[in-house]
Amino acid sequence: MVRKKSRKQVSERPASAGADEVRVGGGGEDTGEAVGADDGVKGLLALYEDPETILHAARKAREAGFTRWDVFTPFPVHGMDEAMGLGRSRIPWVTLVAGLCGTATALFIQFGTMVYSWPANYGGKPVGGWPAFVPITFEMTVLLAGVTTALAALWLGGVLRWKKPKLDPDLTCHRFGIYVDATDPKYDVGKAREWLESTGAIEVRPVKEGA
Amino acid sequence: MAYPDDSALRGLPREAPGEGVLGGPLFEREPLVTGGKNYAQVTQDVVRWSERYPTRKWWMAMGIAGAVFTLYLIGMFGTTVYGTGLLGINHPVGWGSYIINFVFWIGIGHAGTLISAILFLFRQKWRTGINRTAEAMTIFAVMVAGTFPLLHTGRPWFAYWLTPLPNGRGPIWPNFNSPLAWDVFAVSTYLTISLVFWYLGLLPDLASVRDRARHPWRKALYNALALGWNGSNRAWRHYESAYLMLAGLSTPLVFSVHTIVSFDFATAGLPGWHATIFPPYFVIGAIFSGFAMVVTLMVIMRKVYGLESYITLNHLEAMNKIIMFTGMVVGFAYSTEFFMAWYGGNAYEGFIFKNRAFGPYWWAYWIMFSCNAFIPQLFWFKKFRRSIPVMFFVVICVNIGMYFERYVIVVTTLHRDFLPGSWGMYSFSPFDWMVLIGSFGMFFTFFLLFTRVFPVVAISEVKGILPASQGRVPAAKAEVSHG
Repeated sequence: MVRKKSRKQVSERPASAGADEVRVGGGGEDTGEAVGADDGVKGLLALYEDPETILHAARKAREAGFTRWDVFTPFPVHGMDEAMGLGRSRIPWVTLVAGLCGTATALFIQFGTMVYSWPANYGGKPVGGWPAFVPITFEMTVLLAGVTTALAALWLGGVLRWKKPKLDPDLTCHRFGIYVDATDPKYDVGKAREWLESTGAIEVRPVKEGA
Repeated sequence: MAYPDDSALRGLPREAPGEGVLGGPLFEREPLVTGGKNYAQVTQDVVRWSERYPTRKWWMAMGIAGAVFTLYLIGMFGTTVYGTGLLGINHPVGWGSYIINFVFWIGIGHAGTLISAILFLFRQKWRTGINRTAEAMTIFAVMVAGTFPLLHTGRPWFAYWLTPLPNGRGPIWPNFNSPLAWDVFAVSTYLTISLVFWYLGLLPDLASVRDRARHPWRKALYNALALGWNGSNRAWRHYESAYLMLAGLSTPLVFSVHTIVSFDFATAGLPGWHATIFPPYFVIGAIFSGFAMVVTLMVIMRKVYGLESYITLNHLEAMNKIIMFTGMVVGFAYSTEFFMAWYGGNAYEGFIFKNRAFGPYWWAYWIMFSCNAFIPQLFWFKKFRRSIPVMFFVVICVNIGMYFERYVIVVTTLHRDFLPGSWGMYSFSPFDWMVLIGSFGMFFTFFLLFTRVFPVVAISEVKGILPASQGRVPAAKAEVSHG
């Protein structure tokens, strides 16, 4: 499953020429294949049985130069981000910024109401004594940081979009899958299928439009 | 070595002589999941309970919980409509069962966050079997807890005054110097973050349920709940990072919540409350009582739902060790309070503690002390740590003891303060009993509904700790049997 954003990125920055096992099917030399982009096939799904195999397959897929592809696993597989060449998630920065916003909001509310808007004498304590504001400042920091982090992670991961092609129900149970989109510049029906099978897939199947 | 069930587990690493790298013995940890489960079986074992009609046992439990919940609703209705005069509180004990219940329930919640966040940061993989249920317990406990201070105010319809809403009365703002205002922020943040953390963890599992669903209603429900989760690694990448961040945020949060609850007492100038030991003492007590509640629930749930392979005796033993440790810390805190009352040389402080242990509420104090500090000492013996009846007895004692701890703190300090002229006694009215017993009904009603609708074990996390995922067993051997 490829997100719109990455699609745009890809069109701006063409895939670097990788290994040559999979070539762009320019000229239509593989039209003999039963399935092709014209038959409403959106891409190929390769299913694997265990995390080890798919980890190697993903590494090979990246080395082969695929750009519009994704890996589906029932649980996070260690080392998959590196294998896919995804790099580190930027979520911690979101947490930091949202947390600082929470801190600022809490300080603004507390100093604003108790020092500027209506200073009051509570038990002879100094107006604007900051130690009393620490607990709420902390809580607001955590609140904003936590909620924003979760929403950002879901949004960045594309989880907040419901409409997606249904690949295989077993992918959230016991199967591991690699999906290569038909729009991938390296995609070539016959060769991609052959290539995916060579990475240890137990099954490779086309994903049709409207699936 | 096969581990078919609990009977094969010893709670110690298995020694295999001559299998080590250099020919010496190899010590191998026991698996976290017994029964040689594969990925498909994990999903099946956990999800099947929400895919069938409720059992007779479930209906019976739900019937009892629902009936008891009604007591709570009647009690709450009474105190809302007729006022807090229905309760046992009066001069001089103005904080009664509602505050005790609040502290008790919010303390219960702390174990869930400890298991989900702190054990995650410490890479304690055994948390995967129990974290889902423990987090659910946290949420329901905090929900129950949150209603008490609200009703304790007597006019819950003015609760919004606690938030700094712009208003035309001056404007008048809440007093942010007050621990009661801190409490509002602490408890609401705690509930929100716990919910977010729980839901984030649930997402992949809800997607598993969705992908198995046949009935159109089920499909629609879980399709909505699972959002657009499809297991994409591009989603996992951000998800895992966010999970780590949330664990990092929840860890100080869980300490802050009960610290702030303790400030409700500690910032008052009353002997027995005005103590710097209160924040750590409350936090450790909360973890202690929370773990006791987790074990109470797990012992029943693993049996009823047939989850012994995922919540093994080793899990229970690990929790019992934490209970014993935190129990000793709590006992130490009780003793420290006494020592400081003597060593501080303050006559009022000294009197309050003598009065606690030997005054008219001596029975509450000694129930507290023996249940919390003495009885968990049984867990020094491995045999007892791994015996279901013994641990059930101990954790029930701890639940009772921790209730009495809050009873002792709230009541004994208030009932005899500086002037003998303002001394008095406190006892429960029927409404106090109704909301106390009823609050358990509310908790268990939510909990039972949870076990029907959501996966009670974190499926995706358990799959990640199966031997097959660790690269120890050749994958083909551990792989799926289609069935």
